[in-house]
This record gives sequence, structure tokens and C-alpha cells, in this order.
Amino acid sequence: MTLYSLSNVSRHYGTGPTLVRAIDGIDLHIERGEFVVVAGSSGSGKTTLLQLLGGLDRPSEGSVEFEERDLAGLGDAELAQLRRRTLGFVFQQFNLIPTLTAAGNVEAALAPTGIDAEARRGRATELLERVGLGHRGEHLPSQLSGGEQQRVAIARALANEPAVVLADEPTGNLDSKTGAEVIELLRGLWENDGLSVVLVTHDPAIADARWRLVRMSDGRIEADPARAA
Amino acid sequence: MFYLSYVLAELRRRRGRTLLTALGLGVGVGLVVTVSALSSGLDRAQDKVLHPLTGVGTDMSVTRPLKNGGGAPDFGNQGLSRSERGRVRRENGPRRFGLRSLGKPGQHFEDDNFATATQLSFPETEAAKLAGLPGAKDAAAGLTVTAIHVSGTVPKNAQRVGPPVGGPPSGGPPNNIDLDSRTVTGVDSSKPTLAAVSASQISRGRYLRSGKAREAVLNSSYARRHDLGVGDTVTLKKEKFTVVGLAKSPLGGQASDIYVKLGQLQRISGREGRANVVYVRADDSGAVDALGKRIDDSFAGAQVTTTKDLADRVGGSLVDAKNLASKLGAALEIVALLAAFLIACLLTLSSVTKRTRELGTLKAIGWPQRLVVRQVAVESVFQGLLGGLVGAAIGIAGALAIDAVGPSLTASVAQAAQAVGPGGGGPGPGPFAAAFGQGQVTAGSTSISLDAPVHLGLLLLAIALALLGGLVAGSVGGLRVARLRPADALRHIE
Repeated sequence: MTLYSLSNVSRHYGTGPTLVRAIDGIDLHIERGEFVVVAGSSGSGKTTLLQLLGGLDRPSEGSVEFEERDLAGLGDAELAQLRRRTLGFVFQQFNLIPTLTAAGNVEAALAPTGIDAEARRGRATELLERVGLGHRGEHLPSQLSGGEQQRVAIARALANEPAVVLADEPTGNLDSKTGAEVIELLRGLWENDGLSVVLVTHDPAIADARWRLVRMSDGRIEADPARAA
Repeated sequence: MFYLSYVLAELRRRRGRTLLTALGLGVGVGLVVTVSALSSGLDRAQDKVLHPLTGVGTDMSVTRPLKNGGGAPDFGNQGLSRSERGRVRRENGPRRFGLRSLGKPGQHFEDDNFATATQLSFPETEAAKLAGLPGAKDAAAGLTVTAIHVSGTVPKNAQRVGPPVGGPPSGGPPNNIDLDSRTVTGVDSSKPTLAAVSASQISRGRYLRSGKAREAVLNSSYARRHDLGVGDTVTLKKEKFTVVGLAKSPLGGQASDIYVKLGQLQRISGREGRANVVYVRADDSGAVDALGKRIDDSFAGAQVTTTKDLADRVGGSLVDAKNLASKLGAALEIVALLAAFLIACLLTLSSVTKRTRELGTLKAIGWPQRLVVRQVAVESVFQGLLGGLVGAAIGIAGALAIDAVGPSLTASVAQAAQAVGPGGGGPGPGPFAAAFGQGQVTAGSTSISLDAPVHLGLLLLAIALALLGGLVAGSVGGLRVARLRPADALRHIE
């Protein structure tokens, strides 16, 4: 079943001589259960692509369909609901709320769903245990290592049982060992839970042979095994 | 509960900014509290000065002043009927004072006369007519006269002396004749709140009671000058009146020396059924102007004086401070509040800018826009609440400082214009002018210690204003958040 279907998608910034084509006429199809690694150098447009997939931005041209729904037809509130119920985000900078504990950060994703406080707290604890941080629930982000913070961010991304996790350079701020642990965590989610993962990275070496590696350059898809097939 | 924990955690984390915002709002509303307390203190001081000028704003007195026609008046320019002209001529016209008619040379004599100089009399029934006018709530008649008591020994070369009314006698009275004059007002004792002296002005003893007993209330300064007190007697035209009370006259209020019942004064002064002032109370302060005009139209020669007119005559540093507080104080309050609100808005905007990525993350993980906006707004309202408490504390401290310093203010009233004597040939401060005037407006000055009362309502107002400031700042911040696009927010570099 097709998860994403992008047709001739472009995203431009500025006008005239200052026009920047961050994404320039991309066609891309992602099936449910795929692990897609989007690799490219800095400025290749991979983060912009991820934001379009996450409904955080709208294309200048073309259409982005998620589960056969054109995201351009959704309003801000509907996009927020889609992100809350179906998508999970992991960022390079972790983007944890500094004033909330690890458990509080996971609860932040659950709070808008309206579940009661006890269930919310139980779910947060369960997710933290799942990423190996059950004992760190009451620690603030500033009291956690980079790897631990990224694990908390992954737990937050999983809070509402998303269909897909969108990870933007999740190892970019981590040392190689910790980065490998994070990749392993995502691999486990993909293998064991059947989650779809779209991972953006500048390092194609992290890609598993079973994963689909899409290479980007100058806003265009340079190589895509699916297209080649 | 989650949202509240998040709000409190944010306020704790940004403690410096929270305190700065609260302090900004606190100083603004604290200034409002202090200035309002000061204004309230000035009101209270003014009330003390004017007390018991009751009915300021709704009461008025109606008189028929003598118009200055030049030369000896025949009351032809007063707009009166022939019979009324005859009546006021008999009451106020020149009267010859013949010593020879009082006895043989060397014989002791006493003579009592009652004169009105500046206010012409009219039928007492005018009060009922004025009470029936639209906008009038009630009316009561009064009569103020000058009681002149002359005593002495008829000299051997007795000649006519006069006139005693309104102008100086040529050469003055002979040395062996004593002249004593007092202003006496007759009041309708059945309407003690609508009279020249009210029950609230009694400082010792009691007010006049209805009935036939001859009672008098003395102005306290007159009583002090003549060493009189409650239980003593005063004599008016050989009739003794028991002093039942002493009354203080308010600064700027009308004051006579002696107050007796209206009917008794009418009888002994030969003015049965006559009055020269009607005290009128309007339905409300908004009806005063229209009622005054109706009285002018229906009552020939009427002059309407409101108690506000009397209050307006009070001057001095108290009034200057009151004017300053009402004008500059209001401007100061507005500027302080606007500055406080502006500071709160700028700090909130700055805070939102610093938290752009955090707020963008909330949007990215699926927080609806209204929740993100609400989060920022509630944080700002909490800062407003804190600012309100700080402001209340600052306001109380300011008011306590004013109380501690206790600045002294003076209220003063200038002497009323001199009387115009019908026999004196025009205006001028003749030696009898003051003595023959009607109940005089009390002149002089008094000192009042200023305080700044802070009541609960004022503190609640301070907190409400600070909350409003927080709400405004929260709305501005919320608007900024609402316009934040998640993709841009996530790209923001902190």
C-alpha cells in the first residue's frame, strides 16, 4: 500500500534572482513498511523533502499525497491532527522541551489527545523503558547525554503509535557509537513493529542493504532503486 | 494539569524574564494604586472640609437679591408686583432712628430692629411652589435677618440718627449708645437636612425640635466669642431663647450667629409668612441645571446658588493638589499603564522569539495552534498575576509612605463680596456692610493632613489591570506564535 506519493514536487524560496530551488520537480513513492534513507550533501534538499512529507511545509508546485490524501487540501488544524495521530518526528537537535523531564517530554506528545493523566504517565514510562531509559524519566534534558536525549525524542515520536517515523539527521549530533545505537533502535522499530521510517542523513554508509537508499543532489533525486526498477 | 505544570516550569526556568515582566507591570499598576489612593485621600480631605455641606450636587438655595439700581432704591427694577414692592419697601426702606422718641434725655432705652440688606423677602408659600416644579424633590423656606439691638441713655441733645440700614450713619452713634447686631436665621425644623443649619452640623447639644418652645442653635464661633453654651439663653426682641445646640459651619458654607425656628423669627421680626431663602433639593444631580432654569423662569428676581457653587469657592493647596491629582494624576496613570503594557508585550515577544524552535516543535508533534497560543498566553497571564501582586505591594508601600510623611494641605475661602445696602447708595465696604449682610459665607482657612487610603477594591483593580496587561502581552505573543510556520520555526537557530 502506498504511503506517500509525490508528483513533480517543487519547493522554492525567494523570487527573481534570489530564487532558491530547494526541491525541484521530485517524483517519489514510498510504500508502507519501507525503511527509506534519503542521503545527500548539505543543501541537497533532503530536510525540505522531509518537512514536506511531515506536513510541516507546503510545496510550491506539485502534490504530496499521504495515504492517497493530498496534503495541499488539508488545513492547518487537519495537518496538526495528521502529525499528532500518524507521524512521529525525530530531529537532529533532539528538540526536547528543556523545562520538562524526559517523561514530561513524552507526555507533551500525548497531552493534546486528551487521555487522562494516569494513562498518559503510564504510556510515557512504557515508552521510555522501551528505548532503555525507564530509570531516567524524571531527569531534565540537560541531565541526559546526547544519545539519551535522542532516545527520549524517539520515545516521544512513538507516543501516538504513528504509521511513519520521519527522522532528520538523527545521528548528526552524536558520536559514531551512540549514533549506531540510535540507528539500531530505529531498525528494531522497523523490523519488529512494522513501522515505516524515512531517515534523512548526509552519511549513506548507515544504510542497511535491505533499506531503500535515495540519493539527492541540488533538490533533485539523483538515484532511487525503486525508480531504477 | 500537564499544561499548568508546563506553564509553571517555563516561568521557573525563565525566572529573570518573568520577574522583569512582573516588575514592569507591578511598577505601572503600583503607580496607579498610589495615585488613586492619593486622589482618594484628597477626596476625603475635601469631604472633611466641606462636611457637612450635605447635598452637594443636588441642593440649591434660591434668593431674591437686591438689584443695584443706583441711588435710593424703590424696588421698581426688581420685577415685583405693586403689593410686593410695597411690602419690601416697608421691610427694607430707610428707617429713621429717633432717640427723642425713645424717652426723655437721661432715660435708659432699648430698641430692637430686624433688617435685611441684600436679600428681599417673598411669601413663604413660594417654597411649596418650587417644591412642585419638575425635577424638584423637596423645598424648605428660611429667613435670615440681622437683629440690631440698640441700648443706652437718651442724650440731652438727642437728634435723629440714621439710617441704620445699609450705610454708615453720619458721624456714628453717640458714645453713650451701644449697638449690637447678630445674624439670625429661621429654619424649618421639620426639614433638618434642608436648612441653613443641618442636624449633622451640631457639634454639641441637639438640633431644634418642632413645637412652641423657644430654642436656639448658636454658631460655635459666635458662642465662643460671647461665652455661651448649651443651656444658656439668648435674647431676641426681649424674648429669651434657650440654647439647645452649637453648630459648626463648614468652610465655604453659610453661617449665621443664631438659628431659631422659622415661625418664631417671622413673628418677632414682623415678617409673618415671609421668607428670603428657599432651599431646594433636586431629584438628582443631573436635574440641577434644568431645575435652576425653571426656578429662574417662574420666580421673579430669583438667584439660584447650588451647593456646588459654594464648594467651588474653596481654594488653597488642597484644591491645587486635587486639581493636580485629577489632571496630571490621570495622565500619569495612563502613561504608566501604557508603558507597563508595552514592556510586558516586548518581553513576551522577545520570549516567543527565543522559544521559536520549542514552539515550532510543539506544532510539529501535533499541538493544535490554539493550544500553543494558549500556552504562551497563560504564561503571560501568570506573569500579569504576579505583576498585580507586586503592584499591590508597591501601591501599599507608596500609600504608607504618603501616610508616614502626612503632608499638610490648606483649604481656604475668600470673604464673600460685600453687601449692597439699599440706603447706602451702592456697593462698598461700609462699616455696617458685613454686619447687615445675610448669613455670611464662612471665610478663612483650615489645615488638613493628607493620607492615602488603600481599600480592597483598589487592590483588586491593580491585580485586574496587571492581568489585563498580561492578557494583552499574551495576545500579542500568541499572535506571533499563530503566525509561526512549523518549518520556519524548526529552522530557527537559537
